[in-house]
Amino acid sequence: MPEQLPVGALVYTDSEIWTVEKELGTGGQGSVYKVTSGAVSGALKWYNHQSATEQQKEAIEELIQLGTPGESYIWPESVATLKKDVDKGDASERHTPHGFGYLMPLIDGKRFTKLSYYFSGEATFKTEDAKIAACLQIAASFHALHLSGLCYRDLSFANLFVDFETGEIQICDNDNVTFDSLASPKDAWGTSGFIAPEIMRAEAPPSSLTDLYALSVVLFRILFLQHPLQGAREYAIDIADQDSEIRLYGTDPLFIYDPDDDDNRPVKGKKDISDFFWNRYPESIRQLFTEAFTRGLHEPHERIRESVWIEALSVLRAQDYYCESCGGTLYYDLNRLKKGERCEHCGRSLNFVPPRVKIGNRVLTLTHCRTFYVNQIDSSRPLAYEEPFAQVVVHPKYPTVWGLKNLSQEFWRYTASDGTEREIGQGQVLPIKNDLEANMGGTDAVFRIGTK
Amino acid sequence: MNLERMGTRDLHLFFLIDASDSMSYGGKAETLNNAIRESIPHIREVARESEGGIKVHALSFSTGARWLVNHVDIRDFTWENIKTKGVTDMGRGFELLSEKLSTHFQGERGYQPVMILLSDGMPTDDYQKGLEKLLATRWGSKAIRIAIAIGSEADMDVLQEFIGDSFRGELKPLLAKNAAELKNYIRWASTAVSQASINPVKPIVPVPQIEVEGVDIDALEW
Repeated sequence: MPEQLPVGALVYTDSEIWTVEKELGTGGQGSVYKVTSGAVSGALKWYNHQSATEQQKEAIEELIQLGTPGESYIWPESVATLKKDVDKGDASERHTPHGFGYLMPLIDGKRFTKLSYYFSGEATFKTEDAKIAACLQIAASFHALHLSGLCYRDLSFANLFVDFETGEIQICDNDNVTFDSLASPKDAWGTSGFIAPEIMRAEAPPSSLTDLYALSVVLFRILFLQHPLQGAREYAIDIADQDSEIRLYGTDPLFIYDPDDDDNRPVKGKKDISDFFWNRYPESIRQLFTEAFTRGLHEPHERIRESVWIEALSVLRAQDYYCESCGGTLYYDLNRLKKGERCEHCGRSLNFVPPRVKIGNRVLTLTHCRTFYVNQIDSSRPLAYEEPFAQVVVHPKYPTVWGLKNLSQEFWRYTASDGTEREIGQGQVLPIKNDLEANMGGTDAVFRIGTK
Repeated sequence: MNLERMGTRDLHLFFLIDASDSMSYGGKAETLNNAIRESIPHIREVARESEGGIKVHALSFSTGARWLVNHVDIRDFTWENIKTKGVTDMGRGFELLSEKLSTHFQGERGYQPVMILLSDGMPTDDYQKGLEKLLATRWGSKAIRIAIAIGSEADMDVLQEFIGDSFRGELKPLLAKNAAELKNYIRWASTAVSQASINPVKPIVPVPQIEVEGVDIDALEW
């Protein structure tokens, strides 16, 4: 069997003949090609000799039958072979005689870029909101995958594609997805730095719990850039090899911001890029990551669940505002404001408290382009992160007068200045003023305008 | 915010190239030049996807040994044709490398370096002495060492000695019988092995198919 397919080679799926147009990439298991059939384009993964096992083929067939867990997955669509009439051969034979691959949708390369390029500085999120949106989508996609009883096994930056303008994501390399019931640590799999400690110690196979670990690493790195376990201990290693990786990520893992042990802090001036970001996110986010990389390192069942990430990231997404001096994006954190801390972008004192709305113990900021989603307002629906609930609007005649447009189907109620009870239905606007108290579809909210 | 403060580590990729007179016959040198150039975009892709960079170093040995490429970032790397002349002082090549590793690499941080030895013949000097020196350096001993024989005249035992127990003792010298194989092996060694070094815990290392038994020496195309 050929290890690589030449341009012009023909491969067959159940109903189509595809022509290899060009190679898109090569990895440990094989290569990916752009293929066409008439006017239709697709992507073909073709396995190399070692990986083209009967077992792998059956796994692909199973995934095709199951169908995709969500829109963001580049899911296998059909098995591809070199000949139309495949030799079925002996099922016990380890290697399929002529090799095989599978067809999947082609990622739109104009929009989507490998997340890896974010870390080499080659790509960057257009807005802070796109960055948080990407985190949210990744968490939501894994939530859907795990709900279907599957686990991914090899989450890393090489398998995630991002639209850096909008934060939309695509997840590829789904041929390693399997039912969440692997029994043997021999099924170990993964990419350095994303592998859970118990897999590194060869004590457990990949599972949805180890996916949760990888997810927390991915989220941490998107927000803070640095690896959560790469501090002084990593910096001290001259030549990284398997043994040093096992110590760092398996037998002796320590969070760089562990509140009780400062042995692995970022190295000042050398490896401390996370210090720039750590304090800029609100306390609630720092707490969640601290839990993920202290207790979550050692107790897989205590890892932060996707639903918790989805809710926390959604709230975060409605807590940004802009520095009065430089326009840089900041996150609302009362403690920082009280302490008179400085803006991380321009160094000036933070003395502006942005317009905001308080719901329960949650404070969300009001910016001129803000859309609120249901789960930011209604804590009984933590997963409704895509369903619009309200939108900040500026009065067309009086630009300093802001209101909140009701995008939900529920009625809102408030008491106007003249003492009358008023109702705001879908599409109507609640005028915002200081100390306004309103009931938004069953949720009580108090508004505050911006102050210096 | 300064991306340099990511504190990433580099992968150092070394080419050790036989530039003895015999390399000028049968298009071996030309194939090698072409194969390295073909690999460059693929190595660059590995570097783009990994954190930190890939730094390339290359030396040639014939009568004596010399550096051709010193610590060049893969993004800026171009390959000049090798000049072939003289005997096969492989040991001197190992020595030259060990000198660099014991001086310029003090305090350096990196992944396990990848060293690719390419030869078409038998060493004419005391290669063992040079190899001992190389393996006595920290970077030399930690290296993932790959050897590619260009045609059947190469001394496979010497190449195996160079590989030693690097990469858990899983590696054998690769015998490139023709231009296509040489190109494939150089690409594999410079990309898949680099990936394995950057990601040392991934259990599957894609070793290219090697025909050990039934090699038809008469059919060699050099």
